[in-house]
Amino acid sequence: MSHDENTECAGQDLTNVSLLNTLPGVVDEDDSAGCHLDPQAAVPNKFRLIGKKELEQIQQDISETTRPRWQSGPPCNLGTKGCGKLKADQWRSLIEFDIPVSLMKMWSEAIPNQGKHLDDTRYKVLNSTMLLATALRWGTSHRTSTKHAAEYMRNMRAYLASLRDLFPNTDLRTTHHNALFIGEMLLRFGPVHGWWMFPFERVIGLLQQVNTNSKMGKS
Amino acid sequence: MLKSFCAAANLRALVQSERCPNIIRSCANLLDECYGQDQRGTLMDDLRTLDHSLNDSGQEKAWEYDRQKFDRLETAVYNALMTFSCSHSIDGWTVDTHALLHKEHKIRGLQFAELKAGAKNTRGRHSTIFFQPIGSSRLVPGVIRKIFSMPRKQHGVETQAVFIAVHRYKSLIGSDVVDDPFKRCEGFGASLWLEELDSLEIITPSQKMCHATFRKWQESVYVLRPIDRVSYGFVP
Repeated sequence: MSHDENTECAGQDLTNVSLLNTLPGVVDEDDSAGCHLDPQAAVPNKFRLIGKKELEQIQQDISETTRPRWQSGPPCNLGTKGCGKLKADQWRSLIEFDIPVSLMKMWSEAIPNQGKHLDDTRYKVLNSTMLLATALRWGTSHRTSTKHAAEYMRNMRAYLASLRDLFPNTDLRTTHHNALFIGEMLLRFGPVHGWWMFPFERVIGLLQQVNTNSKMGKS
Repeated sequence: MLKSFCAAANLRALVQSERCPNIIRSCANLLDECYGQDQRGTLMDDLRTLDHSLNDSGQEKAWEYDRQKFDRLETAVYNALMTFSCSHSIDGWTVDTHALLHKEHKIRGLQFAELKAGAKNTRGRHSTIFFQPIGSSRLVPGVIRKIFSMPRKQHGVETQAVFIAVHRYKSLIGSDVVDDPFKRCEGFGASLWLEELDSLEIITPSQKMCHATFRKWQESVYVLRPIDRVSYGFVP
């Protein structure tokens, strides 16, 4: 991953990092094999854990997924330039169901095997993704308890450890550090819906739709 | 603007607190009315956490109904209702052959619909649910076939008793179709179920239920995940 890509990722939501960094815009459209991932490699932007074939499978899976109307699903053309920038809601749906289930379907038979580095890596990435999805599930519960906080922290710590294992040359980001405080905050402030930043995101969305003359303080 | 949002966040916490006066708690409904037009995404999610009225099934009020609008229940639904009435006693309610049928019905703020309601492209998005069977702590998936209401006498007042006729998805246990890979990550919440449906059963809004996200896993197998936010059914 290049420096520019790293900088761009730093401002993203927690759910955006890890495996999902390999999705939008990274896949080479002409690369039909697309399976020469090596997280230990010195040139990480050559990661091709998800090639064209896998991406098409994920896109098809998204289009075949049924969800209630009130839940925003990810776009069916995920991973292409036309998909644009995903909303926080769409990222969440993606990591809560679409990506983990698709990866599980494609890679559930990948077991750690020293002779097959790709299978080993797939297993680790799948495991890492499931840990993140599970942590999210506990962290975004409508109610909270010491069990919720403990389960969230256990899964989040394991997820971060898996990131260090998968991407040893990449530093953890501020969002990862922040994520380790959420367990305590669940106990102090209650369910995350009461204090998370989605209300601000909504207002930012409204403000972005307002036409301005780009001159601060001048009407 | 920031001050407004901080005030709103504090209000949310207050409304959820046990110390909150009833008069303020009753105002939580106003938020739903104000933002009711936006039913998508996190806004609905947020509202659902703070609106205590969404935790009630709303069947305690007097129900004004017109019996002329009642329809005869399908035989299968009526038989399931008879079976239900034998195993569950509901005060002031008796089985009837006729009921008020609902294509859609809102329970605790969530819209549920019978499978045939809406256009073809709805694909059962509001009729595929997870529910908690009586006596069980686990949620199981099912498809709503009918939603209907019947009158019930409570303390001299006729209230609305809502019933939901559901077909459960059959479990993979005992079949050799496929192994469920989600068993090894139970905390994720998804699981595989056979496409084949079980016999009809009746559930009531007092039972826990929620929407589901689902897709086909392979021929005759579905992967389903409850959108329960670990609110219930998951934690013992």
